[in-house]
Amino acid sequence: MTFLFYLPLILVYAVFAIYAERKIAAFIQDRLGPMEVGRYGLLQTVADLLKLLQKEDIIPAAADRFMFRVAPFLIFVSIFVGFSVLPVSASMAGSGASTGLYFLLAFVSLDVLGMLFAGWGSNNKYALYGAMRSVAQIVSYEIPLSLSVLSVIVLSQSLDLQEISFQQSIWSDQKSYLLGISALGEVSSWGGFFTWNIIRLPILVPVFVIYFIASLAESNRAPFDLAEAESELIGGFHTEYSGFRWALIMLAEYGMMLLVSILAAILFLGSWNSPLPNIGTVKLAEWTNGSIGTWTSYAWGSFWLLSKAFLLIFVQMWVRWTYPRLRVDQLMNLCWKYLTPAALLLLLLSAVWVLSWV
Amino acid sequence: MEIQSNILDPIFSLSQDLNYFRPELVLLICLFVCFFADLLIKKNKGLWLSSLAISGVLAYLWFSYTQFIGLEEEVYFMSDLMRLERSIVFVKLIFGVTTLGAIILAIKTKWIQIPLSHTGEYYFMLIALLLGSVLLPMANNWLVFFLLMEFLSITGYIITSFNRDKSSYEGAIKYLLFGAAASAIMLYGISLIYGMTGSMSIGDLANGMELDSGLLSLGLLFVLLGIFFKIALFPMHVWLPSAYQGAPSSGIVLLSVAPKVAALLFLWHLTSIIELGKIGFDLLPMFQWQQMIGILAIITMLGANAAALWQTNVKRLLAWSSVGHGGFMLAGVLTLSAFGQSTLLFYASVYALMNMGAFLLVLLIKKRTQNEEDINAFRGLASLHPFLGVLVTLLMLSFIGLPPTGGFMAKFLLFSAIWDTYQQSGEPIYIWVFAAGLFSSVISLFYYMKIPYLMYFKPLNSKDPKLVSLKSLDYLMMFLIVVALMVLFFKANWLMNILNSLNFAL
Amino acid sequence: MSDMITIAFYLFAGLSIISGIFMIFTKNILYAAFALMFCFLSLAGIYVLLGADFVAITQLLVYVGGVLVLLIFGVMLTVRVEGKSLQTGSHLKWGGALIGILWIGILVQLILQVDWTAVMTDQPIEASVNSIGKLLLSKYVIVFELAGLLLLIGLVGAAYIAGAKIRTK
Repeated sequence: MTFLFYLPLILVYAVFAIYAERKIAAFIQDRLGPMEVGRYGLLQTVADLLKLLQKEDIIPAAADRFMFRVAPFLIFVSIFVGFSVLPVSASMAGSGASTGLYFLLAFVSLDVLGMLFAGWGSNNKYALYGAMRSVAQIVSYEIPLSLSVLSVIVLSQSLDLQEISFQQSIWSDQKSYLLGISALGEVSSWGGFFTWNIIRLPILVPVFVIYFIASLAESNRAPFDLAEAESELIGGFHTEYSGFRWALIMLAEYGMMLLVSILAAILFLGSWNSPLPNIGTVKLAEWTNGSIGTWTSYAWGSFWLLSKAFLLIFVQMWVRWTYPRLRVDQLMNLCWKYLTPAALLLLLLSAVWVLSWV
Repeated sequence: MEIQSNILDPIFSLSQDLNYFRPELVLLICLFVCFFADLLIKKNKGLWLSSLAISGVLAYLWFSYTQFIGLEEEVYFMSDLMRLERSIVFVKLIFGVTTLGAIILAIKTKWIQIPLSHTGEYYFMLIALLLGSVLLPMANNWLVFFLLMEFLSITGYIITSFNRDKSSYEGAIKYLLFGAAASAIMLYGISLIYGMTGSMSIGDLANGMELDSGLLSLGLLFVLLGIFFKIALFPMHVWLPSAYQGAPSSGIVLLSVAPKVAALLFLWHLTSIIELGKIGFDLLPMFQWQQMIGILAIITMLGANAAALWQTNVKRLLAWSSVGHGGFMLAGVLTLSAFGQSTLLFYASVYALMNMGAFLLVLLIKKRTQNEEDINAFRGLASLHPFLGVLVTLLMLSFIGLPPTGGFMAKFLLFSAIWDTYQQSGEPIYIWVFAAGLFSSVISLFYYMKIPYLMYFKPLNSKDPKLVSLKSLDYLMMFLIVVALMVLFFKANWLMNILNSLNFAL
Repeated sequence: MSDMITIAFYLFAGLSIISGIFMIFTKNILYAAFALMFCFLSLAGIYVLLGADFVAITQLLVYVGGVLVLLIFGVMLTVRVEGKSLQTGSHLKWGGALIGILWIGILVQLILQVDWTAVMTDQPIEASVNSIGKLLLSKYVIVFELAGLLLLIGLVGAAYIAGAKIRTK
């Protein structure tokens, strides 16, 4: 399932994401971006990719050959494994592990090792500094990330991502209340965005913000890209890489963006459910969700999930080209002094909310 | 959501058991108050924090006392994860008084050793150590036990490194390395025990006997090694002298008493279960736990006292003496009788008092000689401070175990308990322990008496810097401790009556 | 099906033993860390085979994602960045080998003694996350709280020790 759907998806997506990134950057910076290859430069990334694959795989003479070679695979595999538990639509999901979400977080945290090996194996001080920075950053931001995910789990009481998705759908057994207050009435049959986690329990809105910030840092994206920091460190832990291995690292980075965005969509934004609610006899939610088991549900489910994810990726890019990079101490301050306590407090509040009102 | 009510039910039922935790809860509150006071208070920080810590410990003592009055028999609570009996509550009182002493000593050093800005952390660690030691004997579950052992170890490492100088870090790193290895071994042992008994409850040890395998004995052996490490018995003591040398004196007052006695009390519980369940060490035939503990006690008493003969640093000397006293108390565990337990607790109380006095002495000397810890700093002191000379002599007599001090009564009672056990069981190991105890007391005479000897018979060191005059408060504290020790000699039956009235598991 | 599980078990067990041995004998600390990662991963695999998926993932999260990263980080930060691969020496080779072999002998002997059929159960293993969560917050709540307190103390202590300059006498 994962191989069939997500592997091609990541590949195709990465090509277009890079193109999109350049175009968005160009738009924000008021220039044109790639225009030469294909119409509006559409084939630019494909051309780049072809060039990359033909390049020589250079391993620096002083590098630790084994570690240098194995690191990109470690990074990519650990991120790719994360995709294995993601659902796509109502009747199509990855491994149905009851601990799916936990599994995902655990495996994604393994890419840190790959980065360390890459940085160390390159035998280049910039690469090593880059690796150190990015690992310190990822390890730190995992805490607010996990805490914000926990706030969702408090509501869903499950670690199974497909189960969490179902809870936000019109087919859910669990009752949903307007704005998470049972006194305001039940909205389970309305569906649409009313049953999204973020609306079912409005306290998840700040949690979602924390999740989003932490996920930016997790995927080493600006304004948290000081691990790569082209202007200081040349390119971070993958300075010495070229050719296919470099492509793999880039693929992992864009894969990580996709992964955290899909996860955000699943946890907060109603997963593969349509945002359109049923309004009286106008059954928009049912029409735009398809019926379970038929191809309509596959199509609608993956369409909604991916469009939500792509929207988030667009925001990620937007942020990247809008905000300046943080300093290391600011980065750590933000994580340990603001995000982590805030996430803890929100976890407590959402637990209280769930116990008392829902 | 409907599930929630039944999620919360067991928690509410457990919350009634919190009644048994009153002293500990007070400590916990005190812990956090110190923690936040450290953050919030800017003016007169040392004063505020000290008074908060002292009042917290006093409240804890009060609650322990009411618990001591109210508790009738052994109780199991927190779904049998914890247990409580009167002997444990008695130890709580000892630990509380020791902590008070430690805090007063810390105030007295006027932060020579600990910078003012870190008093909050220091009290935090002291109280955490107290909390861990109080809870450890209550553990009736391997999980709780392991966590509490770690609790004691981690607070121990931190207190040891609190001076933040070279010797302090050296001691702490030694402690940490040995402690981590001991924890690992102990955890391995616990996993073996769990594998053999299928239960995390300590009381279910006998279940494992059905499998008739040495693995259970092996697991037990490992767990015992971890406990022995905490008590610092002879082959497992190597970290201790350096750790004590590096640690702040006020910290060791607590560190050398509380974890040790707590571990001993837990060992008591464990051995009584081993004895009840007739769990043998099949690893070596004919080798029962009595033999093992007896041999360890013998080695510890003899080895530590012999090693102490060569020490010239007061703190190291006291460290070795602490190892030796651990050996004596271990011999008390060997008896496993009601009388034996009373004598063990008596010994522990006396030891806690003596220790406090000894480290007060170390502080006085350090103050006088500006951080010298060499034993020669005592030279000729008696001619300057004759009253101090008398007090120190009495204190040292108590350490050796000679009349007219509580130390004598402690050893006397302990040995008579061992003698009783010997007469009942006829096992030769008891007589060996008995003999080794007497012999090592004689050895200890030589190094403990070194201090009064230097004070009385050696001339003052003329190179000494300007002498700092001792304050009357110092005298008063020393005097109180020595008087308490004398009372424990002349009126030993006061304490023994209380101790004999305790309800015993056996 | 059961054959598959048996094969998988031997695969994971073999992998963990081989990586463990490699870890001990390699002189490059980072290779050792790499081998340790495989050791942890295969242990996690064994946990999964035993039906303890929660424990398996925790093993990954705590040991591979936490302890191992910390270990490598410590190694990298303490050794000056010079680009030389880190080497470790071995001391007391023969004594260590002797104790190790003796130890394996004792363990094998003792494990073979046990009549394992007495403790085997045919009871199906239930999904563990929910039950672990409920137990942790009901029966074992004291353990949970103690662990939390322990971590807090560790944190305070670490902050104290790390936040200081060494005072010289």
